[in-house]
Amino acid sequence: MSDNQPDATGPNSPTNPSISDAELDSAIEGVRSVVEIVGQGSISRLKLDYGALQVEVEYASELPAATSPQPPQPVLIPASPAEAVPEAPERPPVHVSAPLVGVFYRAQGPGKPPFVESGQRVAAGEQIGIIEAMKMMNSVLAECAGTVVDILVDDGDVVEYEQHLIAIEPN
Amino acid sequence: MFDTVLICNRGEIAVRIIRSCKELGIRTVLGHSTADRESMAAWLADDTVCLGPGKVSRSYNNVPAVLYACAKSGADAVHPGYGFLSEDATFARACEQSGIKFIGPAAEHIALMGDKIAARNAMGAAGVPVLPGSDGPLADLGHARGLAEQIGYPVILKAAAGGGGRGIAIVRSPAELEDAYTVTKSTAGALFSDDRLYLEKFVTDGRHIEVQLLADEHGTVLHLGERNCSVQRRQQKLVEESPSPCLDPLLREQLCDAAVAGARSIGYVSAGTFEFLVGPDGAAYFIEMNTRIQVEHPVTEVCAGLDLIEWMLRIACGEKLPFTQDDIRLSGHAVEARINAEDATRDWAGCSGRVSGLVLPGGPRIRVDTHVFPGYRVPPFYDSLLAKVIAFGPTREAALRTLERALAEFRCDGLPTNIDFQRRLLRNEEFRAGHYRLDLVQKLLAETAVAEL
Repeated sequence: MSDNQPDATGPNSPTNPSISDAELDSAIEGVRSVVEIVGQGSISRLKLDYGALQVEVEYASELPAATSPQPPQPVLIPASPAEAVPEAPERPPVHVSAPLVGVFYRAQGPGKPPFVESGQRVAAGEQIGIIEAMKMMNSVLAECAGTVVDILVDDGDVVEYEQHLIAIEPN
Repeated sequence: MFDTVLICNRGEIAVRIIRSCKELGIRTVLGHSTADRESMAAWLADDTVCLGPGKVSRSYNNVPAVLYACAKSGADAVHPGYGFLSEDATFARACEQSGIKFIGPAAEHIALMGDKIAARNAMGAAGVPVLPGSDGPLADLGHARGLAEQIGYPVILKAAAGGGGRGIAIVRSPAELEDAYTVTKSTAGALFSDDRLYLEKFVTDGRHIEVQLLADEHGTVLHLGERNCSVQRRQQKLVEESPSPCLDPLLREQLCDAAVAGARSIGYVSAGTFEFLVGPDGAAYFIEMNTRIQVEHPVTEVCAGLDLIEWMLRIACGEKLPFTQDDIRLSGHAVEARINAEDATRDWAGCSGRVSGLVLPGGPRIRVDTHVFPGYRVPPFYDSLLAKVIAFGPTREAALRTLERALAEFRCDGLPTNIDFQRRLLRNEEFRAGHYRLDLVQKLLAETAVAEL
């Protein structure tokens, strides 16, 4: 089951032959509004009975049931795996993505040392690369402080919009 | 043939182009925006490249992004579809300079036809009938006044760089001229960074007739008959049909010959369309040439039995058309209804949202070109076209009956559509009789307003 797609399951038609399409539609619509009211991410299980009709909704959320409001960008917020999802991996790396389409460079120029190497610590806002588009050099900056754990693109590769360039493990 | 074609477009036309490429064994790459990541075209393409965010200036109209996307994906040709970069001469030239084949006409022909004054002059010189009007840009208000007196009101003021119904004003009397001139000039400057205006006779009660052309590099220019696109709202087409029910054989031949002569005179290569305005007296005038594939091309494909996208690809590859005008057989009648996510009762306001339920029509003599699927979200950044339903039959009456049947089958829940409006239009007597003009939609809306009183 996906994270953002509530699975509104209809009745098993063989066992509930009496339910009309209209009833089914209205039930699904009802569940949809319930899901919206409760808010995404906090449902773990919901069961509704409409007489002959039974609807079950389940959420397999990656995020723990937090008391604070859900972050808009979960990758930026350290998860607390011990609380609710013990088997979840440790804090996920933050990916610095391409802000535009162009050629990615790891260094200021040919023969120059790369801005960052794997294992290196970076500060938030520190330059990690350049994307050239039509002779315009665009700086790419680290979104957060941490340790560079992976460099995902080779020097001189053409990258698409929002392509992951490097992975940083936040401090 | 090309190895890899990048399609820098979206929606139904991206799907349409991918389909023809697949049948020709060409690898397809879709250049798309973040808003179209989850789209039918993205699933069907062999590869995808994200060009930028939803806003068109940063994705579908972003020339550097499209060129880098070609480099990244190894595309040797690019199909621009319609809209976006399809009639951008700078883009066509940039492709040429980058060694990527632009699947469309030469940049110089896009530029020529994009300048409405130059296009008018070139076509006039080639013997294509043009509306009485100015030979070049209007020098000033006095110049406009003199010409308007000479031609006779009503006249229409148009921006040289305009098109698609933008940057125009109809002037019905001398008293309206000064305001219209000032407003249109400043609008044109703001919209197109080019405030040159020209003036033409305005034809009331006209009909929009266009001729589809195919031209190769080897000197073959042929037409595939005409389409009548007179059902329009706010200068946008709603229904198109071929052949036109209101053309006599002589006028049809004149228009088709004029279009072929016009294209031949400039050495045009690729698919293209000549648009004409036909007055109530049967006099026909050139309006503009579209140097791209058009939304309504399936109407012609059905009647001619040809795949126009396939021929655009083959022509771009340098192939010679293997048929002559005499080999072209146009048979039967085809009608297309555009299904848009729009609210006809709220001045055709486009609507975005989620398609919660979808049942597409089918059965004999129906073709549906669409990118919509159940659960699809119509993004707010682009046009409102959801689907094109094309019906065909041996006669116009048969094709209209099939279209009526198909539209009754069409269900699209979750957002407003114009399906009901299209069904009403099909029942309209004037439309049914085939002698409708460009004012048909206005009349139909006025009827609704009266009925509601």
